[in-house]
Amino acid sequence: MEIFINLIIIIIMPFLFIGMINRTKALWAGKRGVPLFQFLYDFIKLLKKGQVISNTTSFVFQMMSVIYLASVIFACSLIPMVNHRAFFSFPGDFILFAYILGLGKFFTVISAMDTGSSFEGMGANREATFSIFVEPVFFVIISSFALITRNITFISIFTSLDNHGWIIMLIKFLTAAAFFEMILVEGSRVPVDDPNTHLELTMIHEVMILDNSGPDLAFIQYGTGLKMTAFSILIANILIPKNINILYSILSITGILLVIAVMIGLTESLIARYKLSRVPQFLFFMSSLSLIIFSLILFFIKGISL
Amino acid sequence: MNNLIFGTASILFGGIFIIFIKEKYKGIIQSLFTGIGMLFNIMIVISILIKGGSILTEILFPFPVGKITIVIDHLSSMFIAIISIGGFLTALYSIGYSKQYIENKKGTASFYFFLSTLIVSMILLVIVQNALAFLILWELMGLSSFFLVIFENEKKDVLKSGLYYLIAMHLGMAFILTAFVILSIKTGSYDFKAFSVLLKGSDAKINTFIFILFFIGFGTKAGFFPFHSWLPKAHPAAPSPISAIMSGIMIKTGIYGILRIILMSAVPSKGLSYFFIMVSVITGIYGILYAIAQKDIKMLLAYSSIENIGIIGLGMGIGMLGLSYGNRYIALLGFSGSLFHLLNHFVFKSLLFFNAGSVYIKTHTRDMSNMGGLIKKMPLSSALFLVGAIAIASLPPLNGFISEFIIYLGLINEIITGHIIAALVSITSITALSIIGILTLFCFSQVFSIVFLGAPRNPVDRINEAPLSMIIPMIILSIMLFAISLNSHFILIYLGKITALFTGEINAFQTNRIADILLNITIVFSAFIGIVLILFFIRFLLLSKKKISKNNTWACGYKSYNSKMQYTSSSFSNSILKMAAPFINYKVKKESNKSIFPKNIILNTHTEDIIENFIINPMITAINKILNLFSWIQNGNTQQYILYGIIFLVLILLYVVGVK
Repeated sequence: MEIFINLIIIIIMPFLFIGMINRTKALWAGKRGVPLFQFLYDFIKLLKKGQVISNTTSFVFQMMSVIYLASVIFACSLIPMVNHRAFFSFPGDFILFAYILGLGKFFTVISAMDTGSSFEGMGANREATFSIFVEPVFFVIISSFALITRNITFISIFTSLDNHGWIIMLIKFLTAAAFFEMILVEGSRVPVDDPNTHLELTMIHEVMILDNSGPDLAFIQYGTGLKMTAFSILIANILIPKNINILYSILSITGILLVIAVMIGLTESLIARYKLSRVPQFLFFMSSLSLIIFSLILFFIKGISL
Repeated sequence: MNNLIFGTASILFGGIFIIFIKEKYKGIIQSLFTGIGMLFNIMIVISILIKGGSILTEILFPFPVGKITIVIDHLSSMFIAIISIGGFLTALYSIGYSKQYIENKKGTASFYFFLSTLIVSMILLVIVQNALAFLILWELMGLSSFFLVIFENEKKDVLKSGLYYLIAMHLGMAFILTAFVILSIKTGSYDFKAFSVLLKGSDAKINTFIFILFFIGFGTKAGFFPFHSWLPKAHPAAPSPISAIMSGIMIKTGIYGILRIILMSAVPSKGLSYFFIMVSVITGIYGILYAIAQKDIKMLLAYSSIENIGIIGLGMGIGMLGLSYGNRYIALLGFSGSLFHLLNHFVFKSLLFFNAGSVYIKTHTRDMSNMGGLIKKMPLSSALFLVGAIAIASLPPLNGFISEFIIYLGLINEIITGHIIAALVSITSITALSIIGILTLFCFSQVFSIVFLGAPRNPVDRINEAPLSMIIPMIILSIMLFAISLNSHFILIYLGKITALFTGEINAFQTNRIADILLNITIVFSAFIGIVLILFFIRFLLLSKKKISKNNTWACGYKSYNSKMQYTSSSFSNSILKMAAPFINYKVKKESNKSIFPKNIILNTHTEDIIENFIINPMITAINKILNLFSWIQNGNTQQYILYGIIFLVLILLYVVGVK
C-alpha cells in the first residue's frame, strides 16, 4: 500500500518540480511567471496533438519516446522512499538503476541520429560523451557507501547510513552535491545545457528532440522531469533520517524536492551556460567529488582492515 | 561418449563429402551434417547435465601420442555446446554468404572442409587431457582457421593479414609449448593429471611462472592486451561467417586454456589475481577505445571482441581472487560471471558479425562512412542488429546486462569484505567496468546509427534484404539473447556446477542465493517489458484518429540540406577520441586552402594501435636489421653455395679426424 502511495507521489512530482524551477527563475528575474502547473497543461496539450514525422526516420524514431519514458519510470521503481523499500529491491539493484537509464540514453541517441540531421547528430554525440563522466561517479559513490555500510541494496545502504558521525555528515553533504550536479547534467539544465533555448549550436538534449512532436514530445519531456525527480529522491534518501513515520517521510521528501527545485532555479538564474569546452571541467569536478568521498571513507572510517 | 564420436564424425564426414558434390548443394549438405553432429553433441551435454559428474575414457594411440585421457566435465560440456551450436549456425549462414563465391566461380570446397576441421578440432580440444594431443589439436585449429582467413586469397592484403595471424598464433603456441615441455620433463608424462599433481605440490613461484607462460600463450589466442594485435587484422580479412566463429568461439579456446590451467594449479596467489584483474581491465578499456576509433565495421567488431575478452578476464580475475582469499561466494560470482559473459559474447558477437556480413554482401564495402540509411532497405537485418547492439552494450533487458551484473556483484562483494587493497582494486575495476559499459553504449549507438540510420550517404536503390538462409541464423541468435536473459537463473545454476570444479564443493545455498537475485531480475525485466508494452498501447491510443503527417527533417531553417551534412563515424567519435588522444595515437589532419574562394577541404582522422606501432613494428624492424647482416650468405650464386658445402665437408672431416 505504502509502496503505491510512494509510486504515485513520484509520478505526480515532476510537474510540481519543473513548475517550481520555472517559478523561481521568474521571481528572481522580477516576473510573475507562468502558472505553477504550466508543465502539466503543456503535457496534456501535447498528448492531444497529432504528429509530424520526418521522412528520413524509421521505426527507431517512433520507439524512442516510449522506451525512454519506460526506462525512467522503471528506474524510479528501484528507488526507495526514505524508510520504505522500493517497488523492486534486490542485491545490486543500483546497478540496474544506472543501466536502465543507459537504455533510455541509447535510444535517445540513436533516435536523434535516425533523423539524419547534423544538429541532432551533434546533440546525440554530446549527450553520449558527457554521460561517460556521470556513470562512473554514480558507481564510485554507491560502492563507497557499500564499503561503509557493508550492504549492497539501495534501501539497506541508505538505512544503515543513518548515523551522526561528522565524517558521515560530511560525506552525505558531498554526495548530495555530486548528485545535485548529476541532476543538472542528466536533466540537461544550466550550466551544462539550456532547456529553454532551441536552435543553438551549443544545445545538447533539446536539440536531440527537435523532430519529435505530439505525444512523443510529451513523453520525453515528462521523462526528463521524472529523471530529475528520481535523482532528487536519491538525495532525499541520503539526507533524511530514517526513523520517522510515513507521513513525515512524505512531507520531508516533498520538502527536499522543492528545495532542490529552488536551487536549480537559482543556479539557472545566477550562472550562465558554460561554453562547451568548459563542460568537461565541470564534470570533472563531480568526478573529483566522488574520489574525495571514497578517500574520506578509506581514511576515516573505522573497521576497514589492511 | 559414443554420441560425441558420432557427432564429430558426422561433422568431419560432411566436410569430406561436400568435396564431391555440386557447388550449389555444398552449403546445404554441410549444414545438414553439422546439424546432425550438433544434435549428437548436445545429447552428450544433456546427459552430463542430468547425470552430473564427468565422463572419463582412455584411448590408446600408436607411438608418438600414446595413451590419451579424455575427460568431459561440466566445463568441457559447456564448450562443446557452444562450439556445436555456433558451428551449425555458421554453416547455415555460409549457405547464403558463399553464394557470392559461386557467382564468381570460386570453389567453396576448401571453405567447408576447413570449417568442419575447425569445428571438430575445437570440440576435441576441450575434452583431451593430454599435452601432446592438446598441442596437435591446437595446431590443427590454428591451421584450419588460417586457411579460412585466407580464403579470399586473391586479395593481397588478405594474404598479408593471414600471414600475420599465422605468425602470431605460432608465437603464442611457442609459449604454450614451452610450458608443457617444462611440465612434462618434470613429470615424465603428458597427462594433465600428472601436471596437476606437480603444480599443486610446487611452490607459488613455479606456479606463477608456469601460469604466466600459459597466460601469454593462451592470451594471444584470446586477445588479451598486449597480445591482441592479430585480431583486428585477421577478422576483417576473413569471410564474415569465419569472423563470427573465430570471434564468437575460437578465441574462447584461449579462455578455456587459462581456465584449465587454473583448475590444474594450486590456489592462485593474491598478487597474480590482482595482476590478472588489472590486465583484463586494461584490455577492456583499450579494446573499446580502439573500437570507437574504427571506420571499418569488422575491425570495430574485432576490437570490441578484445573488450569483451577483458570483461571475461575480469570475471576470472575476481574468481581467482575469491579463491586466494578463500571466499567461495566471490569465487562463484567471478567465475560464473565470466562464463556467463563468455556465453553471451558468443551469441551477440556471432549475431553482429553475421549482420556485418549481410551488410557487406549488399553494399560491397566495410567502410562505415559509405553506408547509412540501410534500415529502409534491410529492415529485418537492422532490427536484428539493434537487438545485438543493445545486448553487447550490456543494456537491460537483454543478456549482456546479466553477465556484467554478476561481475559487478562480485566486485561489490569484494569491496564489502573490507580489505583495503581489495577495496581499492575493486573500486578501480568498478569504475573501469562502468566506463567500458558507457563507452560500449557510445560505440554501438555510433555503429548502428551510422550504418543503418539517417539518410543514405551512397545510393541504396539496388540494396535489398539479405537472403533467408542468412536471416534465419540471426533470428535464432536473437531469440537466444532473449531466452538467456529471461532464464538466467537456470543458466546460473548450471554455471554454478562448472564453478564447483574451481572452488571445490559449492553448497547449493550460495548458488541459489545468486539464482534468486537473477530470478528477481527476470521478474523485473518482465515488468519492464510490460511497462514498455503498456506505454506503446497508450501511445497507439493517443495517436489513433490523429493526423500524422510526413515531412522532411527540420534542418533549422536551412533549405538545401543534404545527406553529406550528417554526422559520420569520424565526427561522432571525435569527441571521445580527442580526450583519449594520448593513449590511442589519434591524429587529425586537415588540409584547406584559405583563399577567397575556398576549394575542397580534406579532413583525415587516423588512429594507430600503439602496441603494434611502438612495440611490435620496431621489434620486427630490429630483427630484420640483424638478419640483414647475414644476407650476404644468401646471394643466389650457385658456385658459392657449392663452396659452402665443401667448407662444411672439410670441417666435418677435420672434426672427425681430430676426434679420432
